[in-house]
Amino acid sequence: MNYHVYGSNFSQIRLSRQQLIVTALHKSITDMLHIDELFLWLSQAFVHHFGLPVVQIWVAHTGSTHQLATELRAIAYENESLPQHAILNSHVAVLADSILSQQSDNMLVRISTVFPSSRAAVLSRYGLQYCSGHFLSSRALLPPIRTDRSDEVLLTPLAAAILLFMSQPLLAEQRESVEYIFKQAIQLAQNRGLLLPASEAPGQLSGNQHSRPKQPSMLAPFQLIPQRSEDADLMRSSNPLSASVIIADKQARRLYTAIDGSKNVQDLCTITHLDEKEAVLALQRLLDQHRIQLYDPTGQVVDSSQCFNDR
Amino acid sequence: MPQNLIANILSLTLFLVSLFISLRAFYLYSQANSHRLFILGLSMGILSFTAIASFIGDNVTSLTLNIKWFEYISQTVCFLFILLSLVRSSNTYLRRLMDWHTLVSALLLTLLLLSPILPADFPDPGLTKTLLGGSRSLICFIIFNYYLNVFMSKNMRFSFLMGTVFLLLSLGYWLNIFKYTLHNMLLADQVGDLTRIFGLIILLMTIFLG
Repeated sequence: MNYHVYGSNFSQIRLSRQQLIVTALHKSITDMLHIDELFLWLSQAFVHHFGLPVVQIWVAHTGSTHQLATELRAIAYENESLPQHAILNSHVAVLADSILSQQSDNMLVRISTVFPSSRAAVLSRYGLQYCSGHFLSSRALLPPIRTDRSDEVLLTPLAAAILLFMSQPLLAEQRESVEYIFKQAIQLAQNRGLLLPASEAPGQLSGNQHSRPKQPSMLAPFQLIPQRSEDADLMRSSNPLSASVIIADKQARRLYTAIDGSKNVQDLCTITHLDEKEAVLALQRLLDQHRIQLYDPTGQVVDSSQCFNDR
Repeated sequence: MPQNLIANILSLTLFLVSLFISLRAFYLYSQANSHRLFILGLSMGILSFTAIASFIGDNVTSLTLNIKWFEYISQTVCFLFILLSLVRSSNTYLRRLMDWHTLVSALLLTLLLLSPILPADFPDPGLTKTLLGGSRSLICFIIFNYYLNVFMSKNMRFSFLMGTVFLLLSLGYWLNIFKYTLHNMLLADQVGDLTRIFGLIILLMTIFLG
């Protein structure tokens, strides 16, 4: 056998798979609103493309108690019948914790040496013999988990442990591909705002802060761009000729007519000859009726519920 | 009973119902600035024109108005734009659709103005009328299916009634096309007209009850 040709063919396959995943990631990341969506996407991609039975992504974070803890942010299975308790338990958490604390770049263990024999036997039935751990970090700050409702969140730089459960150890090329893809994903996440810039002080944030929508207090309200939200049910399931479709307030109606999706609030005030107070009231009315949505100049949707509250 | 009594009743019913909906839609458009309302208003307005033009063409024999070109093509186009306005809700899409509808409607009205000089009949009339008449039936049937899907998912009375309206219109137009190719189809034609009248009455009821 010509191992050189076999080796070069394998490298080509590895590179094309790598490229395939990265290309798909470029497309999918545009729809993502939170870093956890990216983590889940990556986990599923590794399961699908590398044939890995289980992939987990753990991170280190500082909770409201200001103590460092390990938290699972994504998990993907190849076989849905795998009992969750077998693969999500304190032993796995300890494993993730050790990777994070030691920052082990490439750890490979036999499951039978890490798990109690009963648990190892269960995993063995599903063909899981080995666990590979990879540590990745970035100076970018990791947003809290999406469901975190705590009042204060201490942001920390990203420190992640990827756990791969498999029947055979990964080849070196496969390991490199996983790490490369993850690094690309982190870079993209920073570019897309799913990870917060390291230049922001890693201090406390009040309230439930997530990647999007942006905080309206960061933007001058009159720089925001309103866009119309057409009622999807009109004429489909609701009578279009009922009086409820009317915009009763004259100024709101004037403002709504002027909205073309490109002019900001300041421009609309100029065109409609509304002063600041009138424009704010009109916008609030339109927002309350769900007739418009506000966007920042970069095209990101803005949480308008807090927009004009202090005016 | 005059032979074209039912056809006249149909024309007048279509004229009155379409005109009412058109005027109401345009009024609400001035108050709500919704693109979908504009498209509805314009479509129903053109439909009312086709109805009154058909009535005049059939009954005022002293005038030579070759209305059929305008009638068939306009009705097909109007139903098509109503269908297109339902399928998507994006503001950009509806604004562009509105612009296209305005342009096409201007062309259709030009067709109406040219009716005195247009040929009296279509080339290969049996086939052409069947295709144009059949296209109205087909588009109405597609709209019926659309409302049926909405009703199945949302269970709204409005969707049910509108689905019924377009099913009846589709059936009526389908029954009308047999006369173009087969003989002695007057009964089918009249049943088709009555079906459409019934559909229009339900449309009017839906506007008030839906």
